[in-house]
Amino acid sequence: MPKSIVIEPSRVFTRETIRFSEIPANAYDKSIREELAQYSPDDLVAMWLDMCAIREFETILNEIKTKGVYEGISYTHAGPAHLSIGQEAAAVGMAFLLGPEDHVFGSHRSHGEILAKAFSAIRQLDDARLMTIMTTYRDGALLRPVEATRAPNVRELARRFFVYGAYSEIFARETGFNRGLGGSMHAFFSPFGIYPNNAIVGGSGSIAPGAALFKRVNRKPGIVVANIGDSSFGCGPVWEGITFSAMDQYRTLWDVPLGGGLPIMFNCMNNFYGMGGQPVGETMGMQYIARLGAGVNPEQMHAERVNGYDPLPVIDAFRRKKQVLLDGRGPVLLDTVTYRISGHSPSDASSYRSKEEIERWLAVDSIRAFRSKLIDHGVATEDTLDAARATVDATMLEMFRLAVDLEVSPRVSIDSSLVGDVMFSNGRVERFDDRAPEFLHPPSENPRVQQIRGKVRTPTANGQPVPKMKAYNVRDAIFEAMLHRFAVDPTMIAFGEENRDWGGAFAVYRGLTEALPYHRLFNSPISEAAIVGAAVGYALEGGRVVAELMYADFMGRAGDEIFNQLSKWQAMSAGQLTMPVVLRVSVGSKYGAQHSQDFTALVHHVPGLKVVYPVTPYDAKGMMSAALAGTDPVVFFESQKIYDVGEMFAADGVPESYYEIALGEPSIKRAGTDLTLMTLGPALYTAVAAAQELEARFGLSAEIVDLRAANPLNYEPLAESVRKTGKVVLVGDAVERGSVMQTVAANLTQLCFDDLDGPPVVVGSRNWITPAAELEAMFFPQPVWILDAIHERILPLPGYQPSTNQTLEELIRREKSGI
Amino acid sequence: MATPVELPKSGNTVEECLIARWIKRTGDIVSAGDVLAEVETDKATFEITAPVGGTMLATFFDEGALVPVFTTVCIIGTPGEGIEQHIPAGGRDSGFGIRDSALPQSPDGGARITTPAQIPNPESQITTASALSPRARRVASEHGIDAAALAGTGPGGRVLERDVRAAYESSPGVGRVLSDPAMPGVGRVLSDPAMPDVGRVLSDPAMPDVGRVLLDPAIGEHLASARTSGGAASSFHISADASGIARLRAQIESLGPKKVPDVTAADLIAFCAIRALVGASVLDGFRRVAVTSPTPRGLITVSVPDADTLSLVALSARIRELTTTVSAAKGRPAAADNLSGATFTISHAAGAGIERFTPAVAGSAAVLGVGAIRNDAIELSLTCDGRIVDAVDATRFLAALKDTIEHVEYHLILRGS
Repeated sequence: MPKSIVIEPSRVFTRETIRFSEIPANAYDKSIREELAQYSPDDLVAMWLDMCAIREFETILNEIKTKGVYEGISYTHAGPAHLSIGQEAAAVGMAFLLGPEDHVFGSHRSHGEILAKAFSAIRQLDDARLMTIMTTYRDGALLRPVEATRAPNVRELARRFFVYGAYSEIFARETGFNRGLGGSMHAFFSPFGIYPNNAIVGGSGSIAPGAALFKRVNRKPGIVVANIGDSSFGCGPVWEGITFSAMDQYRTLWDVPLGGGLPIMFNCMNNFYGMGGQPVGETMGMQYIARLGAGVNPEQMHAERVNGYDPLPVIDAFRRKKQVLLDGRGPVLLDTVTYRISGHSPSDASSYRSKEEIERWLAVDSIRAFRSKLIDHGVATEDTLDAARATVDATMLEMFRLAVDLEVSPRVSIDSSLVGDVMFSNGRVERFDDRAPEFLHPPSENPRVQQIRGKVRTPTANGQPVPKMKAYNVRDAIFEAMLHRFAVDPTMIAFGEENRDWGGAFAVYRGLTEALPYHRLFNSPISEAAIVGAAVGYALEGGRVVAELMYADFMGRAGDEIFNQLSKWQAMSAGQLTMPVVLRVSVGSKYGAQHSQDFTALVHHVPGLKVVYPVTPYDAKGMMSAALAGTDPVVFFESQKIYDVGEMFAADGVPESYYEIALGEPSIKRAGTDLTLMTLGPALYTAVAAAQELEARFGLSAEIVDLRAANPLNYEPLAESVRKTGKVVLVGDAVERGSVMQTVAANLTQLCFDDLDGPPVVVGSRNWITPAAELEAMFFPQPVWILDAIHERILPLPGYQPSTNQTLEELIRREKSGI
Repeated sequence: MATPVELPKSGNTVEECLIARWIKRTGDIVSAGDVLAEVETDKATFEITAPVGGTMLATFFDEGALVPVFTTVCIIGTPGEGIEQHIPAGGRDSGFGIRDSALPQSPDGGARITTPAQIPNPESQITTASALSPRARRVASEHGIDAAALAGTGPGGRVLERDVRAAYESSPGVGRVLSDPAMPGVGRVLSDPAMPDVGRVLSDPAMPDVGRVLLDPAIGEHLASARTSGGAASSFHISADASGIARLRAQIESLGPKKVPDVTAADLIAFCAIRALVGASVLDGFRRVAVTSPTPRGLITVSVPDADTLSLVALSARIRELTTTVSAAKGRPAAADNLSGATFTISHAAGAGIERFTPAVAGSAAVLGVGAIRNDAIELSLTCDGRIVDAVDATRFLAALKDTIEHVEYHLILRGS
C-alpha cells in the first residue's frame, strides 16, 4: 500500500532459495555454580519455595474438588478449577525476571502463572508501594481479612494478600480480585502486571498483541507475555495475533524512535495436551511448537525450545528474549516444555494417557528435582528447605481457610445489583494521557478539513436542494468526530484493513493519512480476529482505539473477540477494566450474499455491547463523538448505501462545533398523527418515501421515528408515539427473523397494549441470501411493502391493491419453511 | 486403624457415580495403589485406588448401585478392627448378591414417559371475526358505545378506533350535543384519551362555553367517574302543557322587576321539579338538588341545599346568587361546597331552540333536561343512572312533574310563598 515500498518484478522473479536457520532445543547447559554467579542462594531457595507455594495452592484445590475436605476444612467448590500441578517450574521461571511493568496474559490454567508473577513483583516493589497497592485496591477490602493474620513483614503480607485474593476470586467471593465475577479462569491483578487470563483457549493470543501495541505507541516500559498452551496454536486468533505482532511496518514504516517490533513474547506452556487431544502425534503436525517461528518471519521469531521442568533454563531464556524485545527485534516465540500431572479438569479421567506415562513424569517431578539440586550443591540444607516449605504450606492453608469462611469472605447476596452495575462503565474520559497528540500537520491545514469547509451542512441552500458533491455527508460527519478526538486524546489510534493510504475502503478516513503518523493510523493484516483482539488489548491497557471491520459480514471472523472478549471484560473484572473501543462496522450494499448483511441483531443480543446505527450526518457526528468520549465498547454500524447522503432532517444543519448525542436516544424525524413508522438504519429513507405516498394518496399523516440505536434504547419516546397513533410499522434492512425490530415490536406491545389499534408489524428483509444488485428490490424492504403491510394488517386503505403478500397465512408459510 | 475409602467427586457437576465393577472384594489383601473398583460418571469411567495397604474389611454398595460422592464405599485395615464408625448411611456390608442402593428407587422403577402436550390445530383461524382492538375498546367504553354491535373496517373485520368514533359521532342526543361545534371544549376534552384531571384541564381559558361548566373539581370527579363507570343510563321523555308557566311569566313581565322579583320560567320549572321529587319514592331519597344554568360565561351548575324548603321566590334568588358567585370566580371557583352532595340535577343547558335535551348523567342519580317552551308545550327528559333509578321510578316522577307543571298555580298556592 505505501508507495514507498515498491514491488519490483525483476526482484520478485529472481532465482533464490529460502533459507532457515537452526532452532535450538534444550540448549541450556549451565551448572549451579555458574548460576550462583547471578543468583544468591536466597534467590534459588525463593524460586523453589514459589514452586512449592503453587503446588500447595493447587493441591488444596484438587483435594477440595475430589474429596470435599482438606485438613479438616470442608468445602464444596461449585465452579471450575483447571489445575497445572507439575508445571510449577515453568511458571516460576517465566515470572522470575519480569517486573511489574511487564504484563502477562494467561490461559484457563494460569493459577501458577499468576502466583509466580505476583511473588516476583512483590520481591521487586518496595514496602511503601506494596502498602499503597494493598490499601487502595477496592479500598482495602482484600487487605483487611489478611491483616488480621499478622504477617511478619510487608512482603509476606503482600504474598498472603495475593493468595487470599486469588482463592477468594476462585470461590466467587466479594473479596476476590474481580469480586467473584471472573473466577478461576479470569482472575487477574493489574498492579502486579498480571493481566486477564482467558477461558477461551488461545484468547490471549489475539489480545496480548494489543497490549504490546499500547506499550509501543504510548512509549510505556516493559514487555508483554502471552502464556498460552500448545493446543492453542491450532486456533485462528493465535495465528492472527502472531501475524499482527510480526508486521514489517513496525520497523520499515513506523518512526524509528518508537522502538521497532512489538514487545511481545508468545510463551507456549507446552504440556503436550489440549484437553485430551494430543498435538504431537495426533491433532497437529508441528511436532515442536518452536518450529512455527520459522514460518513467520526471517528472524524466525527468535524461537527456542526450553526445559520447563527446571526454572533455571526458563529464566535464562527469558533474560535473553526480554532483551530482544526491548531492543525492538520482537516478536518472540518460546516453546516451554512442561507436563501436567493433574487432569484437564476434575472430570478428566485421563483416559487419553497411560498411568505409566504419568508415573514417569512423577519420577522427574520438578519440585523434588530442584530440591535435590539445591541440597546436592550445598545451596541449602534439607532441614532449611523442609521447614521453609512447611511454613509456606501453612500459609496457603491459612489463606484458604480465610477465603472459604463466608463471614470473612462473603458472596454478594442473590438480589445484589453488582453484575448489572458493572456491565457498562458509562464513564467519560476526554483523554487517557496528558502528552500532546501527535500530528504530521495541524488539523486546520488538512486537505480534507479544507474540502469539508466548502460543503453545505444544511438540507437546502438558498431554498434549493444541495447537489451531492457539495453536500456535507455521513462520511464527513464521522471524519469530523474522529478528527476531534484524535486531536484531544494522544492515546487514540485507528486501524483496520485499507485504513491508511486508501483512506478506508469507503473514504471515511480520506485525509487522515496526511494528518497522522503511522502508529496512530495503520493498515492491519486481513485478520479480523486480530483487529478486534488488538483493540481489546489496547483498550484494557488504558488507551482509546477505533478498529474497523470493512463489512459487517466479517464479524463472524472476529466472533470470539466480539462475543467473548470485547463485551465481557468490563463485567468480568467487576469494573476494574474499561473498554473504550469503537468498532466501526460497515453494512454492504449491492455486493451480494456475503457482503450485504446487517448483523445488528447478533451484537444487540450479546450483553455488554452498545450498538448504534446512525444514518444521517447530524446523527453520525453526534453519536460518534459520544462513543469516542465514553468508556464502553460501541459497535458503530454504518451503511454503504448512504455514506454520500447529505443532511435532510435537521433544519439548522450539522453544527461545525463539537456536540454529542446520547447513545440510545431515538429521534422523531417527521411528526405525524395517524400512524408511526419506526426505523433502524437506512430504512429511514424507505419510510420517508412510504410516508410521502401515504400522505399523497390517502391523506394519512405518518410519524417517522428513527431508533438510531439497538442497545441501549430509550423506549419512552417510542411508547409515546405509539400511544398517540395506536398504529406502528417497524422497518429495517436486516432480515426479519430475530431482528432488532422484532424485539422492539414485542416490547411496544407490552408498553402500549391498551392503546393499540392494531398489532405492531415488522417489515424486514426476506430471510434469504442477498441477491445481485439488480434484483435487490425483491429482498430489501421497499416503500410499497410498508403500504402493503399497513393495508393488510393494520388499516385497510380505500381502493388499495397490495403488490406483495403480507398476510398472516404467508407469515405461517414462511416460518414453516424456515425462510 | 481402619481406613475408609470415599468415592471422590470427579467433575464439577458430578453428584453421584455408578459402581461399575468391584475389582477387590471383602477379604482380599490389597497394596497401596491397587485398583479397588471402577466407577462411572455421566462422562467417563474412573478407578478408585487403595490409599493404604491392608485387608478389605468391608465393601458397600453392589455393582450397578448409584452412590453419592464422598460416601465411604469400602474399608481397608487389619482383620478384627472396628469398622462401625465408617459404615455409610444407606449401606451395609454387601458381599455378594443382595441389591442395595443408596438411593430410593422410583416407584415405577424407571424414567416416566410423558405424553406430549396437545398441539393446537394449526389449521385453526388466525383471527376471530368481530375482534376489537384494545384502543377501540377503550374509546368505546369512554363514550358509552356498545362496540359489540359495530361492524369493523379493520383487517378481518376488526373494529378499529375509527369505527367507534364514527358510531359515536353519528349517535343522537348526547352525541349530537357534544359534537356541536358551538361546544368545542367538551367535545374535544371528552374525546381526549390522555385526560387525567378533567376539572383542571377544562379550566383552560381557551375552552369556552360548556367547558366552564366543568370548572368545578367536584363535577370533574363526577364526570370522570361517570366515564369510568360506563354508565347504565336510561332516558325518559315526556311533554307537558306549559300554559300555566307561560301565564305566570307573562304576569311577571308585565308587572316588571320593581314590583316582583324576576322569577324565570326556568325557576318555575325547577320549583315544579322539586315538588315532584318530594314523595317520589326512590328519587325522594336523592333530594339534594343542583341546577345548571346558562350564563354569559357558559353553563354553571350549582348545588342548592335544602331546596325543598325554599319558596319559589327564595329558590329563584338562591339559584341566581349561587350561580353569580360561581360565575364571578376567576378560574376555579373557590367554594367547592357548592356542588358537593347534589344527587338530582336540573339542567337548563340547552340553548334556545332546543326542543328536547337529553343530558348525560354524571354523578347524579338523575338529571332532568329541560327544553324550551314552544306553543305552550315543554319537552322534558329524565336521564337516570339505571343502577339507582329504574323505569318505574322515572315514569312516576315524570308523571308527577307533568302534573305539577300543568297545575303550577295550584302547587304554588299549596306550597305557600
